[in-house]
Amino acid sequence: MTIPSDEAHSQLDVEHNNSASEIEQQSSMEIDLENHDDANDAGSADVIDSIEHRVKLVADALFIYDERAWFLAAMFNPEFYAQNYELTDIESTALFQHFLDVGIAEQYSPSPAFDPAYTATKLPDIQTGEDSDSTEDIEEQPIFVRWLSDNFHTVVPHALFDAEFYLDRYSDLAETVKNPYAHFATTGLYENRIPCEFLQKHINSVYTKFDETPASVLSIFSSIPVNYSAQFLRKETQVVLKKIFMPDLYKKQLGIENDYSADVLYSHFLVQGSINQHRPTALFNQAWYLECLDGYKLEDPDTDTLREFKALSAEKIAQLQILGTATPFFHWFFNGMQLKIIPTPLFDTDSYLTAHPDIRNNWKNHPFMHFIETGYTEQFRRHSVMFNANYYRQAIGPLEYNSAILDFTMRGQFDEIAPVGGLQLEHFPASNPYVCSSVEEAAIYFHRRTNKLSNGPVAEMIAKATALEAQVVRPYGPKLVRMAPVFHPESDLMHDMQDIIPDLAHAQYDIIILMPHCRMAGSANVAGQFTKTVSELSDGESILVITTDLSAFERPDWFPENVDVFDLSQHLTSLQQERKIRILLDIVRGLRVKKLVNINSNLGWHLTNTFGKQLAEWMDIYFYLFCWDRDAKGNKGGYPIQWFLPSFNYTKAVFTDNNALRTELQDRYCLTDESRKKIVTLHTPAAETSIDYQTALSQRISNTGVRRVFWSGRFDKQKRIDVLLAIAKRMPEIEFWVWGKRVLNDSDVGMNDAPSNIRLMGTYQSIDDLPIASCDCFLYTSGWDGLPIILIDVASRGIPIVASAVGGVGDLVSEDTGWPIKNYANPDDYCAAINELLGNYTDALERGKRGREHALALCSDDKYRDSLRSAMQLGTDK
Amino acid sequence: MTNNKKLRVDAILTAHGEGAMASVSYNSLLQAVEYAEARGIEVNKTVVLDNADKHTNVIFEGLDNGTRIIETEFGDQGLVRNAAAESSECDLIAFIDGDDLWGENWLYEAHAYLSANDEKTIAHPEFNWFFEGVSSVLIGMDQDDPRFSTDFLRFGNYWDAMCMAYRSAHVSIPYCKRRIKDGFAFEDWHWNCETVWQGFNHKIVEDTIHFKRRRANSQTIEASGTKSLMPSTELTAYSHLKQFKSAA
Repeated sequence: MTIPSDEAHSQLDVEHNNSASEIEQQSSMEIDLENHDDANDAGSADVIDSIEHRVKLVADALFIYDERAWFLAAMFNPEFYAQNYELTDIESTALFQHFLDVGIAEQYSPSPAFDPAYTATKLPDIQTGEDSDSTEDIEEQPIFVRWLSDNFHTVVPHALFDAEFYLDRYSDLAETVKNPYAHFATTGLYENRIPCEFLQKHINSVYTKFDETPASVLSIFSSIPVNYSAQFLRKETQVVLKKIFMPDLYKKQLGIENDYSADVLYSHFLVQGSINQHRPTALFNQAWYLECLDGYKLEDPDTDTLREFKALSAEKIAQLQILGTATPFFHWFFNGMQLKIIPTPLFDTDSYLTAHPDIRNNWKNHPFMHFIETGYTEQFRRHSVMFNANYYRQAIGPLEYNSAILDFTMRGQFDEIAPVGGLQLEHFPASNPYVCSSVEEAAIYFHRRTNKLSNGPVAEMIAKATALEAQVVRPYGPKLVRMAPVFHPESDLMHDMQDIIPDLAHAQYDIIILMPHCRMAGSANVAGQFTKTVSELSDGESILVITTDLSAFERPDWFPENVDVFDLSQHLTSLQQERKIRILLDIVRGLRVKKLVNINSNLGWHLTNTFGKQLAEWMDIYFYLFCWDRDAKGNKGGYPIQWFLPSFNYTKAVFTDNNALRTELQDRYCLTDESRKKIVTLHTPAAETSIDYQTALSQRISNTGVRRVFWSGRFDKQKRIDVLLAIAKRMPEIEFWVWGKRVLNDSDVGMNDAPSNIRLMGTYQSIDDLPIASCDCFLYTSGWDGLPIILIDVASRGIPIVASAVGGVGDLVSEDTGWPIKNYANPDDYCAAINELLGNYTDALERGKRGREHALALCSDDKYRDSLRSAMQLGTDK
Repeated sequence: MTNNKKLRVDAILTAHGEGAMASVSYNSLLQAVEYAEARGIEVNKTVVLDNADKHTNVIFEGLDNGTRIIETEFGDQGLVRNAAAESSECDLIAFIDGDDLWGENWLYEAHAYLSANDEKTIAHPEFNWFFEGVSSVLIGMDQDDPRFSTDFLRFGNYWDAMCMAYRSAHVSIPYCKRRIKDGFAFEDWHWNCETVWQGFNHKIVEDTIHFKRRRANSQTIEASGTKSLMPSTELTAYSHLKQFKSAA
């Protein structure tokens, strides 16, 4: 493979190639001063920048007439010199003269192959002698002069050149070249000869793994800022560089999928990628760095005027600001950090120090160095108002990369998952997302917008306001930036709603019914009954049923066809509770609802408990209560206990499905007469009034075979299946047919523990699908309850009932209509009742008959409609 | 910006219990007035003291620099602004709250902007700088900016009340009453919704800034803490939106 020489030096290539041999040939030759004088007389404007001419200039300026003059003339690289010292306005032919007149004294470097700082460390200590100049005089000589005058053959002036390696690698030079460094600086550098083991290792790595050619040695040398060749080569530097290198991001920039090791990719970066301006880490943004470098100003111009007391002189600062031939990344690494320039818009020193006392108190270097080396992988670190690692992790789930920033750059930005609340990334498209991600684009945008706060007329306004009120600049620390709707906490809500609203059928509804979901549950059944009745009673009012807590609508048949059903829960799954509440608030407000009914919607309760007062100004609020619950500690809880009061004052009416709960609420809170009236019992209408099992069951009076009891319910703690199993165990001669399934998984007892006389029957759609006529009675063992639908269904069908006398069960089951068990946890009491029932089945059927009559009267459709019409002022009661 | 109309500005400071902070705000007002007057703008100075406490009243006692002092008993910021605008004889109204500051160039730049635009234009600063209790900056959003969305007004407020507008805007659309105990506040946000709904154009005046003091007991913070809502407006209803299934 041939290595092309650098385009920029094509004009001088011939001279470089010649000059190396000429230097060797003229090792003892002196310069022809007559010719030199002629050239000098020709006048600078017409001077041709030839090697010979330069040699004469060296002789004039430095009084050096031998091979060293030829060396200097040949090694001088005008483009390198002009770029690194911002001399591009000087004619290229005058640059060499500039170096002699000014550059040498200013310790400028004439070539990528000369490192003044490194050379200074290698020059021998000055020895005083009778014939030599005084020590002070010599020490004041420029480094280049000292090196060229006395150390040309003994000191190598660049850390990346190894003479032994060079001659060893290039055997063609071993015989002819006496000064390998001089050869390299004048010729080898331009012939792409590799000057040291370090570079060979990295260049070979690229040669063997990649199809492309590494950059030229000249480019590599030029990519390192002047004076930093030694630091570049230092082990500690390489460790840090490797530490901050992000191979995954780098690979994406190269557009390769190969499974290269991090070391290979790092080699590529050093000898190719850096020069092609790929970034090694997501924490270096080249465009941002160059913008900062360009706009660099002293942090405190007032005190910084006295630079002599500062570590960096004004001259040094000016020098550090010059990018020159260095690549932006290496310029930042060696120069930019000295200026405290942060090369990413995603790090704010104030944010980092304010949030982290460990860094503030213990870290000796610049805080950004902590962040770029380790801090960025620590999720708890707060480094910018534009990026919150915790927020991002919550939004995207487990990270696939070792830091949130890298994860966002690699994948989050493509899903438009913002790394901070309220930031709308669609406004910040990234043209090259691996080079500058969308959040970097956003951060740069806001930095630019707020730059006015530190420069120009707005900054003057701030200064004048601060003169009037010194508090204006406080508190110190990071300053939050907001720009609605692009970056504002409420913007997320707006976007949520912009997604949700198109799923609504209409812009306005009169009545909204909130329910958690529609699964096979009594409350969902009630919600269906309620909706149906409201729909029938309403006078053309539009009704919307909203499921808020879970995407399940298993029984659409329970609801009338003329109401819209909207699954809001599907839009809320990943959102915080407060945002869910705000969404529901916007919906009920936006739809200009007149009546809002909550039937067990948890989100609905949150809504009314938070904004009930305001909602009540816009609409009538109603909620439905069924029964309280018991928590894991066995204490009463649930909506009637924990949620009732905050919303009660703002409601028009509260519905219960049984008298027991109504009375309990009225008494517990000592409600006034007016308030007591707000709690209305709506006994759920019996779904079926015509089916009566009395005749069928009468066949069992003479039954001498197996007696059967049936039980139906959730296999949960509330339903006390432990009691059921204990009863079955005590009555082995009776079969217990059991319908139901586990729902909440909160019961310590499972059906695995059931005795053999329990027969699990599965679940059912309709009670009338069950072989009720093959059973003698219904058993209900719930530990707490309202008035369960199953009891209404069973009682209204004339079936004898043994039931725990809890909650609203007493509304249906009394000594007259069945066998209520006061001590609901005592199996023996149930057994006694079942024995009594089976012992006189004729009497049992009588009670069943009275139970049916009572149920049909109590749970009548007409009664329900009348109560509802009155409570909600529907239909004719409006 | 060409100033082609000779419009008079009323610089109105409203105060109630700010005490010594009101003197800072008043000095800010005087600074901005001086800046504007030096550039040929005619400015009236008005201070409205609404149920002001003695620490606030004393600051404005005996002023003889032409400042119009109005005393009211509304106990409500919005109603105070309405009364001040109603009683003003100037073409333009610029409000400043009794604990905040204007950027010195505000009156001049906003006046220049409004002079070149019609009566349905409302001027806001490019930046709102929040200090003392919080450290944040709000970059103003121009209603003609393609990123502006009316939908946002259902959830948040783009602009503070310390705007400059034609007096006619305030007279035709007064502020609503603040009812924090009933759960309603943010009369400035509400006013912005109403003005947007009625076709006003909220514009940003470049290179201008307001300084908003956020005290722990400020009314805004109190309103946020009590979960106050903005009163409903036409903008909070969905009826003006087009993206429903039925519309499709």
